[in-house]
Amino acid sequence: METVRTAVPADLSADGPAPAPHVERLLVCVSGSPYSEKLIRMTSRLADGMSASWTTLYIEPDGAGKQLQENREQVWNHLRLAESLGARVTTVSGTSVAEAIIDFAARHGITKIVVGKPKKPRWREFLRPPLVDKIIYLSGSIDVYVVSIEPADPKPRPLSSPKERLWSGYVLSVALVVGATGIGRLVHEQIAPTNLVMIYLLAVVFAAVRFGLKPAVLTAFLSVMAFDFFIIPPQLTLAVSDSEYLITFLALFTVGIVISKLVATANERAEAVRKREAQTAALYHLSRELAAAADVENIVHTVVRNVGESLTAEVAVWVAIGGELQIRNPLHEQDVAAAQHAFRHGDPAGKSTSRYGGAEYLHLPLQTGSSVLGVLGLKLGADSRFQLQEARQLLEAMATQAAMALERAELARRAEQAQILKARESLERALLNSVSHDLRTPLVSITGALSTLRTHDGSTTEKGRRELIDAAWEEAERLNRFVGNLLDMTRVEAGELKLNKEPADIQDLIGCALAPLEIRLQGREVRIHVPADLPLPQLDMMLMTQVLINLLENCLKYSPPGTPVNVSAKNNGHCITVTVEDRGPGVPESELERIFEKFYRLPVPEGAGGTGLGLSICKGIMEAHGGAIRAENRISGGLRVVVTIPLEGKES
Amino acid sequence: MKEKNNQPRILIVDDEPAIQRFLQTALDTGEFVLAKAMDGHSALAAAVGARPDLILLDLGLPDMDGVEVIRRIREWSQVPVIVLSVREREDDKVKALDAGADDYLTKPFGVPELLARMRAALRRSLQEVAEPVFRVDELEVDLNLRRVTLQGREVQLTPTEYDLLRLFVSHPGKVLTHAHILRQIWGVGYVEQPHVLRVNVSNLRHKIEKDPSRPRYIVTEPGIGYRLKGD
Repeated sequence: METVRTAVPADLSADGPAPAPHVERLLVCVSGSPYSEKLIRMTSRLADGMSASWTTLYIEPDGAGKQLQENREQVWNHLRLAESLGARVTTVSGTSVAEAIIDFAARHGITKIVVGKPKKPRWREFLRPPLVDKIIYLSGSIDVYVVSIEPADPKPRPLSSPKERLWSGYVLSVALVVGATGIGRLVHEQIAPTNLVMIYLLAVVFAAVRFGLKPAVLTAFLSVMAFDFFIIPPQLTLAVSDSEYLITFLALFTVGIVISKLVATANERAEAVRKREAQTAALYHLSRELAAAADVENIVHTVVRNVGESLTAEVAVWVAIGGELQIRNPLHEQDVAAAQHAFRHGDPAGKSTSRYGGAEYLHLPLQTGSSVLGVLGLKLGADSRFQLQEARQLLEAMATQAAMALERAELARRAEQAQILKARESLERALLNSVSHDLRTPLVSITGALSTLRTHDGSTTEKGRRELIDAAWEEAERLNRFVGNLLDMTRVEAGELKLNKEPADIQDLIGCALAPLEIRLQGREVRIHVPADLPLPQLDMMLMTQVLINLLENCLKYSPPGTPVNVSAKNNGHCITVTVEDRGPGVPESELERIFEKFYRLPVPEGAGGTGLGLSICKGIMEAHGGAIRAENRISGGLRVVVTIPLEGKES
Repeated sequence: MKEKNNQPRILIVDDEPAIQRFLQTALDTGEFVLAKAMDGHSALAAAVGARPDLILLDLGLPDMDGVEVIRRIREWSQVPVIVLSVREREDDKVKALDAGADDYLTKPFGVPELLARMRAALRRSLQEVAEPVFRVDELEVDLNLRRVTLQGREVQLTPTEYDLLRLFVSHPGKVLTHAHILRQIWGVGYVEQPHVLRVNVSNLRHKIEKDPSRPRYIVTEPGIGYRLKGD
């Protein structure tokens, strides 16, 4: 027989002392069977409810055979699922599953064990006692929760159809009467016939409870007949010797009918309550899941799944986007028309309604007080327990739930958009402030200088006048550059950069960028390295010159006067890189990407007076060329900006 | 300085009163006689009536395209035209130059730069025949001998490079568009083959420029063409 041989991995036994007893600790044991998933989810819910921690355990059988190897993947899936739900996951090997579980539970202070009990025929349980029994037997102080598991179909077994049930009811009614008569015949010597009536009444009550009204009525009628024919003398004839028995017959029949009626009514009420309960439960499930669904896609998915499962039906949900119903999946013509009708008029249409009755689906508008947000289409499955008419009430309640969820999602989306819009507006205001500041600052200097010169009263020296003129000139140039930058930026942003591509000599390009900066570059060494055999990439000379000018201007702005500037080009086969390097302070690593953002300025103590546009214009121009631009700090100090110009478009 | 009765007549065409006023004041050096026109039609009328020696033309006119003004003038006159234009209108500049404008200046510009361009254009128009020997800094081109020297040392050029240099030398200080150069040197069929021009200019520069990355003689006008630096 089985031997207890449980190995616990070292890391688990090293967990330390068992935790304090008042903390609930749940344990669920899984296998590769498809029911394990249900078990895991159930335990997760239980643990949530008790705010308990829980562990998922897999007992690896010793000497795992081939079949078990195949099973392993399934086990892994289950363990992963458990982990994602917040469980601690553990694998233990052992021969006796029950003993391994109990051993593990004892070591780790488990307070409750959840086990599944698959439904098996009774005789098999008798031959081989189920795991549950063994665990319960061994569990001691540990609580054991048993979860019953349907072997194949997770849905409740479909009941036989009402028609079949009625026929079998009649047959069984006859059998009941035959049985009652048999008993009556056996004991009629000892018991008075009036008391034998009670046996028949019993049969009627039984029929009423089990088979419903009509078989019960049949039972009552047959009972009277059988009673007369077999029990009341003269037997085996319908004739009655004592007319008193007529009262007995009447009473038996009446009581039988009344009982049948009462029981049937009670049954119907119970059935109605059961159905209502099921509907409430379905509605509750739906609303709970809808509350968790955040976006339209999730809501649609939840509704389709929930309503489909609750009513055993095919469900489709179409949501209106921009006032138009978006019907994606192919539908019958009638159904499309019915769905559109339901959407436009807010009335149900399609199957079992007066409009588009030929449609396969029943289409209900997803409607809130103000508007129709979509349409829910439903086609009951062949095996559905519901009739379309009786499901209508539930369906409409569900549709309302769905509509409310959709409306909520829509409102949330609008609120978010408003938020974004507000953020954008405030950003634009900030940009406008920045721009107006940059425009006004040079104007202040220019106006100031000119006003002094204009009202010249001899108090300013010739040197002072010279300085004022120089200051005004420099500021005017700066203003001009800024306006130029703004215009370039606008063109880049508007996507209006029309590239006037031509084959370009990189050396020429560098020369063009250096030319307007010659005066400012005086006193600096500009080291240029351009290989002689560079191909001619296709580019817009004007814009690309602007890129290099902006980069060189940054070198001038941010690196100390007198330090060298390097400009070099290199052929990388599929592209040409042009590199501009300075000996400035570089850029903090975290900002290397951000310097290409619009209006981003590096904080520099002297306020180098950039516009915060130069590099973002460069980026825009490079992207328009299908190229790229990036910055990095030089190891020996300073910043390196690398421009990549693609060679794809070159002429052969 | 020229004699008073022989002062060059300058026609200023611009619809902006502020710019008109600025140019009138800046050019009021006693060197020129000034006339003004505020739109394209009056510019054409003035070009006939006032017989200017040079026209300063703003391309953005209210009634007609500045390029069209140049075309109409070029139908009967070779008067030098200097185009004044804002920066983001490269296409217009090329069109204006191809239509026959002699030079362009990007607004805003400094007056010394304007005066230099005007003087160069006037000199070119007065000088009908190119001097047989052109000299700028250390570069000397003798068109009669087909000889190019740099710092007195002869430079060996290929026939195409020489033709190219000769074209520049014949129009010192003038912007020559890519299309114009290609048509003149290689023929109409090569107008769509700009890379031959790039390669030859690059080669020429390597032979006559001290630092080809910072050329002193043949200056690139990005997106437009080349200009041989005058004196």
